Amino acid sequence: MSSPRARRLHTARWIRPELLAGSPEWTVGLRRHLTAVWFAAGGLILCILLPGAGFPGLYVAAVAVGAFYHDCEPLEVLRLPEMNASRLLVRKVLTAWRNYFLLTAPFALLAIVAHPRTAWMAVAWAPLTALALLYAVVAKYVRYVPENSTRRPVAERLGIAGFLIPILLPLSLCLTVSYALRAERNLNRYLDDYD
Amino acid sequence: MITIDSLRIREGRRVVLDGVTMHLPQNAVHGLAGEGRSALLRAVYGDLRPEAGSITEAGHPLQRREMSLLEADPHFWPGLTARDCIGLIRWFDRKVNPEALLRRFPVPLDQEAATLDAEARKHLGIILTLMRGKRILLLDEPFRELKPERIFVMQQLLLHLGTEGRTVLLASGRIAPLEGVCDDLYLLGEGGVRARYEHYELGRLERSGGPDKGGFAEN
Repeated sequence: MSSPRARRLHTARWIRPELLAGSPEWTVGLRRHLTAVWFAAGGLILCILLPGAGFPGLYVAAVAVGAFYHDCEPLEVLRLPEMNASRLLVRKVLTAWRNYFLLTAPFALLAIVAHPRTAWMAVAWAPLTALALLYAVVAKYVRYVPENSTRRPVAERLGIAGFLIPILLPLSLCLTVSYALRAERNLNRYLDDYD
Repeated sequence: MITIDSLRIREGRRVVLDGVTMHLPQNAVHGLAGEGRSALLRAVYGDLRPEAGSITEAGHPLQRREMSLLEADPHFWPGLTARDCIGLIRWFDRKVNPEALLRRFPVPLDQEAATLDAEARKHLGIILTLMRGKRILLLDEPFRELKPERIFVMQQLLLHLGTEGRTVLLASGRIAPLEGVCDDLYLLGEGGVRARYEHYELGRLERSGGPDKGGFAEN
């Protein structure tokens, strides 16, 4: 009942929307990139063994998770929560934070236990990671067109780079604010019917 | 009562419907046939913004949260399995239970929904549309791609939905499956409503081959 293309998808039963707070992005992302996720987990364990590399590794993983927010979902999936634009955006951001921090919590704990002197890095890691995920969500919904998966605009890619290259970080922060405002306006076109 | 009043829908430069007026009582199954039926369903759902006219219920605009739309050719986000699609709906509404629908319309749950064949995608589309328990159901070609035994199951289900207080708008290119299911049938064409038939007239209409002697124009 399916075409051969179906074989490329990881159909692991443990990847379930129920476990990922109903996030279609994380469900699709994990299914499509499960092999990369396992490699990333292995890489993170290696980073944790090196002093001072654990939290930077976790942070890079957060920026990479932004790839889950590249493709635009169909309208029916967007409308499933039956929320207005601002509430939906807040929910998407909270879900992204929840999923990321839950999945990386064991690694973060391991990094602290392995190198207690680098625990201070967690103070920088948590807010920067939260910002990177916030950026990924709002950048997606600025350019949201149902079922569209065109390339990211240059400005958006510069914004992503800003989370890895410190000199560009102010640009990323400005873009985050701008995108947050514009994302709501864009989503209002599709969710105007919900209070 | 859902009231469609002087509706005009334009797709690009072409006026698909113009001056369409209908009064659709609640708790009934209403059939739509002929050119422009899909556009009308999408307008009722709010996906197509009418150029003129209104769609209201008891004087108020219809709320999308009250409705569920089955597309003629359901498509899904690549990367989601059928189980994921059902799981997403259950996450947002814990009360829904798809078991009974899955028995009627079997779907391979652990395969990617987007790559299922047309029949399985239709089954999944029907399950996802009906399991949400919405009061108004908009079904575009619900019988297309179904095998004869599933068409019978779908007909029984529609009869049940009509009696349990749902309002169903059903667009179909064929009259035969509508007989015994629809309370009335609106025939669209030439931009407007060409005719309206009561349920007891559908059998005669089907035997005569329809107004166009061989079914209705696509969409």
